[in-house]
Amino acid sequence: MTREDENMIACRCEDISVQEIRDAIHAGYTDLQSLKRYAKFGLGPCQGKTCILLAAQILARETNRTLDQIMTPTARPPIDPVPIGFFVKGMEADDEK
Amino acid sequence: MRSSYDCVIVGGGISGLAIAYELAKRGYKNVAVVEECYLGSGSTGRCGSGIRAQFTSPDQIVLLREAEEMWAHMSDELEYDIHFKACGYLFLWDTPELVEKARQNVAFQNEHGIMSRIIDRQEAKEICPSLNTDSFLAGQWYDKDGKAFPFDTITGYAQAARRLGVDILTTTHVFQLETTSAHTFTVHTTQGNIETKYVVNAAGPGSKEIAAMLSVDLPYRLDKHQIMATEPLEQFLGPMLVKNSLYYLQTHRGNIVGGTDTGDKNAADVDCTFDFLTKFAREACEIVPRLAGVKLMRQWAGYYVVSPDAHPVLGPIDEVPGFFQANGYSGHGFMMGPIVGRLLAEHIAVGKPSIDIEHYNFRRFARGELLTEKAVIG
Repeated sequence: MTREDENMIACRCEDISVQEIRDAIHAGYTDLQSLKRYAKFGLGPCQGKTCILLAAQILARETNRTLDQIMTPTARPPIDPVPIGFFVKGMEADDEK
Repeated sequence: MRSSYDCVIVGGGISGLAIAYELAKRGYKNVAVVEECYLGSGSTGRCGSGIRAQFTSPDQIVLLREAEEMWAHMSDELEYDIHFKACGYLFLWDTPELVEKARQNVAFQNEHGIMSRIIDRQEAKEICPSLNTDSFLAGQWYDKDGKAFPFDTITGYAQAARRLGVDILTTTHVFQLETTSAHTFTVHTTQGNIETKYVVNAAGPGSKEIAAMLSVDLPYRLDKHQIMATEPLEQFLGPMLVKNSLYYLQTHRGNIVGGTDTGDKNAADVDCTFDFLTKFAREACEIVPRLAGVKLMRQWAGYYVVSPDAHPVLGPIDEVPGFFQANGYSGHGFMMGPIVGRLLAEHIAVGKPSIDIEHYNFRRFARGELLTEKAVIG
């Protein structure tokens, strides 16, 4: 463990550090699906677009696997968050303007 | 993994893990849970996370009343915070006929110790200040209903079961079940064969397939139910809101999570659709207009494993001694998990569950003794 890992944020939406991900791996969460749900990264507004691959790399390194041996989570629509009002016919979306 | 166990539980969702934990707690520790993917990857991890006792069938009410007691203490019991909160369920009724029917249901629930009540629009607005009071005539409210976080519940049960000696095997597929001449079973898995005295089928959407391996025909239909989560917000909503098939709540993490029925019966996939989004958005914004400005973050879907009478099948199978069922929840598997875990464990370890679950036995279908439940949401 380095100080860098403790301070380095892997998931910016949920404020999860590299070290927290490593700790979860060492606690036995060695598949990316369970790891994500236990450590709770990749669930924020960016939907894991910044951190999932980073976490996959950490997981591969910590468990001596290659990236293609790690099953990545299903990408869920929408690609970017959309105001619910956008889907209602005739309703103007209030989009933080 | 050992080559033999006293009990093998097929399915690592809340049912399977709760049964394993409750067995181990009773000293019955030579138990394995076999999960084909990761823990909670089936219906548990996809569910709406609501817990309620406001049902219309005495059988469901008896179990859910007890389940709510268990949920209230679950974090202490498992030594892990599963984020249960009695946020209450607020049903919104928008026609005089529905309000009248709700009055009858409330009277029935009150007789069975569920102190739900009909409330007027003003009181509903006090419970949930964001409500549009023009969108309903009256509410039906019960403050002991609530919510818990599915993946934390899975983690809590799995860790507690492991501490007590239960073996939990993930990414392990069961592809054949056989009975032996010695009244035991051989469970064929992708990690090898296991001999066991008892098999529990807690395989959720896969239950029908598992039962068919022992020539038991569970009369289930898989319905696709879609759901979404918004960006996290400060806590503002309060209760679980329900109107017709629409439901949503705010999780402890701040996301609004909920869904509505899109009529996908006999579904062959759990793909998401745009039609769901437009239906959900219209219904959700009608009762809480400020949701229009909240960003939807992701949508997904899962199966309701629907039985002919919307009640699960619980307990042994007469024709195959030692083969137990805990499946067919028709959308209520998460909320029932703790009580099913306890009762099935008592059945196996002690021989008799502390609450009579005979009505839930598989044989009711052959005898034509179906139960009735009208309050299925989503």
